[in-house]
Amino acid sequence: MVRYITAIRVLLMLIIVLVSSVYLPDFFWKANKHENKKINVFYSPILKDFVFIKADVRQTYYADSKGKYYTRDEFEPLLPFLNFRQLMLAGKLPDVIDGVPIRPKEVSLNNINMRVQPAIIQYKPLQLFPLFESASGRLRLELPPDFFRIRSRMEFITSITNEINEEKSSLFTAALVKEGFSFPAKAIYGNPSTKKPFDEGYFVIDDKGKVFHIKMVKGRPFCKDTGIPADLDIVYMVTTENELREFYALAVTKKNEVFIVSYDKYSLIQIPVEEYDYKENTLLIKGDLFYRVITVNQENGYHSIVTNRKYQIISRTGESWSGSEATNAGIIASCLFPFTVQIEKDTTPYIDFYVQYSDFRALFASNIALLFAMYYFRKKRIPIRQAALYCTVVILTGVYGLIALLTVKDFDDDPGKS
Amino acid sequence: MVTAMVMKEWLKVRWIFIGLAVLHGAALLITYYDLLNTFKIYKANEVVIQFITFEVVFYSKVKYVSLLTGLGIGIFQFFPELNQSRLKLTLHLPVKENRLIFQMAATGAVLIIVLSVFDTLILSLITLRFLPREFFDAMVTTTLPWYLGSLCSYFWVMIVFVEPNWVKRILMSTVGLGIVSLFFEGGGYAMYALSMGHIVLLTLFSSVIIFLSAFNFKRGIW
Amino acid sequence: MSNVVEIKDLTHYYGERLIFENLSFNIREGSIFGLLGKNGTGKTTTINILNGFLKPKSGKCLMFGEDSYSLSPATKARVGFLIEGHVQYSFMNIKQIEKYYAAFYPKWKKEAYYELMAKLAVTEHQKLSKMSCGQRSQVALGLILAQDPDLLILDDFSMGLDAGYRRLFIDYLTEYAKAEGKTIFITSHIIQDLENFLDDCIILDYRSVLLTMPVKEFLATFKQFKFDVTDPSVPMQKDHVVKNIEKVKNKISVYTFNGEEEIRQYLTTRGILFNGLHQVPMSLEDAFIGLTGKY
Repeated sequence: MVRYITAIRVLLMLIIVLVSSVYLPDFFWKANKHENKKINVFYSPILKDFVFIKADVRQTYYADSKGKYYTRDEFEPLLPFLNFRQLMLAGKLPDVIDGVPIRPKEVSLNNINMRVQPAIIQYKPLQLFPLFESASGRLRLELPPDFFRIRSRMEFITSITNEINEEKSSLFTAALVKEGFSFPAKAIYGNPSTKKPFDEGYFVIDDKGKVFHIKMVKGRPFCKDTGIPADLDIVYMVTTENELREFYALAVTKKNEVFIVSYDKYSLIQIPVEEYDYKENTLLIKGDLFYRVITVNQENGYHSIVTNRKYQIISRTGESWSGSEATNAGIIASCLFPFTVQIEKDTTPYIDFYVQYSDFRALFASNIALLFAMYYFRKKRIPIRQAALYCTVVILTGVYGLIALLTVKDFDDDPGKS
Repeated sequence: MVTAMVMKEWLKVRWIFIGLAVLHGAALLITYYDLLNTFKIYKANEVVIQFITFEVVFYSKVKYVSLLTGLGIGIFQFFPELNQSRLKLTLHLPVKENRLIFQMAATGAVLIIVLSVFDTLILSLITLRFLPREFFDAMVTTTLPWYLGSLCSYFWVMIVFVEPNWVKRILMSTVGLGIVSLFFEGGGYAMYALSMGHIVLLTLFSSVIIFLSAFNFKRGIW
Repeated sequence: MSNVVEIKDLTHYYGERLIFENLSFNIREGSIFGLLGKNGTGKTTTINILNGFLKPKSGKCLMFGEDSYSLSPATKARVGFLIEGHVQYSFMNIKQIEKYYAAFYPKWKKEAYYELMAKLAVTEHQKLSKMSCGQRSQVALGLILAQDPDLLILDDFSMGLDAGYRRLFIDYLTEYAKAEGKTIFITSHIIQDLENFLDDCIILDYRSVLLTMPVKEFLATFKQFKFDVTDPSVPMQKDHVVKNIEKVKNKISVYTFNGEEEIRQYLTTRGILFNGLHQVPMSLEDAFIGLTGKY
């Protein structure tokens, strides 16, 4: 009846292999939960050394790089900038550190915290943004009545009517054209939030890779070619509106370089990062009155650098630990599953079939699965020539293939045999 | 002959189809009024920024209705065939068996596609009425996996019902459940934007498995 | 005359369970062939193989010269098939179901169907699911007659039918069979209906064939003898002469293909004292039970 029945059986086996490789490892790891380490890295101006906050489900640990553990009360004074409010409350905030007088206001101003996650870099949500009035003269930012897009021109869509505000659109488009902008925009970066002290608008990469700064000042367009070279290949920018007004944004390039776009004519300052891969790692930048701590969080470890305010490296630290694959469960999983398919991953917001292969150890289960399969076909008196294709699926997919085999089950009676 | 086959399939599913059409209509109507009311209660720009920031899938009812559609059409179309092995009547007709199976599957699939197109049309009207085109784009890529999931669930109901062996029916139900679940993951906009090709393939592959079930049905239980 | 159906060395198992082994028989063109056997002897299995809904483990089953498992559409059009219990599309009404099947058969005889429907107290728009079992059987029959097949396969047509409908069914079939070259293959659990209807029959036992021959020959050669014995504990066993024995106290019935004289001799040589030996006339049903036993 079906000429291609063998092909369809193999197809069904592959579908079952897919389903098994998604759900079986998932169930397996649910039953053998592996806890990931969480470590926060800081640099203590008191100890002049890295200190750590490590947390697991039960407890939070405070430690320094020499392995000494602290209580919370002992630990907080080691990071006076981070904990200045708590220390002030307890009356423990030092007046001077390294000869520099400590003023709470200044400490607060210099505390910055930025994070770049791989999932955010990949994610392109709706390309519609509110352009705030950055010089309204009011205390708080207000949400504009319209949202902009930059395609063949810059357009503002008024929300209440859902129509394009032609006047405003023409005004801004003209300003962009005048500045040499090539439509459409490749990427638009900014903070579409009113919960920031002031507004610096957006950094927009045009069709030719040039970076423009766009904001609205008293209803008028402010468009400026930043002069950031197009061949920098920026993959992501994090803008930050901070009263410190030291830099507009952080730019991550395709080559895993990180730059600061400073307030000084958009000049670029490269930040030292090591072992950073924007597709896989989270980048954290913590800054205070004295230092910048740049941390790259990897799946099973971290790498931190501390610099002075000029981004000159003072010291570095790092740690890597064995991940889930080194646990007993992990070893079993490596032997059992030739590969694992995940549909969701931490490093991307998109659902897809992400395949992770095991190593040579998977041959162990695959070979046993193959023996089972051959025994099965022998018992069913199916000639090896006919079973070869199905057996190939089993050797390549191990346990999954065996499950597929036992589910598909009826292999006898192939067309052309009778 | 095709007309006769389509008529037979239609007779089986017309009530559930009409029921589902009403359900789709109701879901869309509720979606419309919910959105209308949201825009009445809150400032339009506040709503839009919320939608952008939190990726509000305001048409998520369509997701569940879609899943129900594939299952409903499948069950109503194939339960009578499984019951007392009526499928034998169809397969005894003087037409190539695979063509008959294809015609049956195609009829159900077309009905599901009709409902999906209907949803898309109405959601387009609703979305474009209140929101910029970007939301329409997001809506299309967000809902497409649901419609494919609906088709896929239909195919797996057919695979399970036509398969004659009870043990394999249960096994194939499990596989079907696993496959169909893959289409309804995630909660934001356009989560499957990168994997659309994969899930289209998965749907096509699933549709081919139907012929294996039919083959098994014809071969009988050994 | 050629054979419409040729079955040779057919063997089938369900898992490890043997249903039958090396089943062979032919159905002549224009004959009415009955497949008889108690429940579980493989009647439906045979029908399924014949209709291509079961692939046998081994052996051949040809229908109009084609492998029954992969019949061409043209050959399928020549075969009418009544599923056990007259199963049809119960969600259709009388008119819809006729229109549906008409689309598939070029030789469709609408009148044959409506002629039969006219005899039923049903309307055109009545759904099959709202009909009695008897009425549904007539719809199923009408559809087959309208298809005008050369071979008709009827799986237990009598299921759920009362005497009237069974008679009606047989009457129609007889008429149909008279038409040139029509062949009927039938199974039934009510054998008495088939008595004057069948030409040939095959009787299945568990795992084996008991008999294949024309019904007339079967009825003429298979006999029942009754006699009394003085000693009810006389030992008697089935063998090549005695096909079956029934014993009620001192009255004994034996079933055999041999004549009265041979039975006398048979009993005498075994030293069985008997009197009042006489032949008892049998219907097909009696003969069937005589051959297969009551249990």
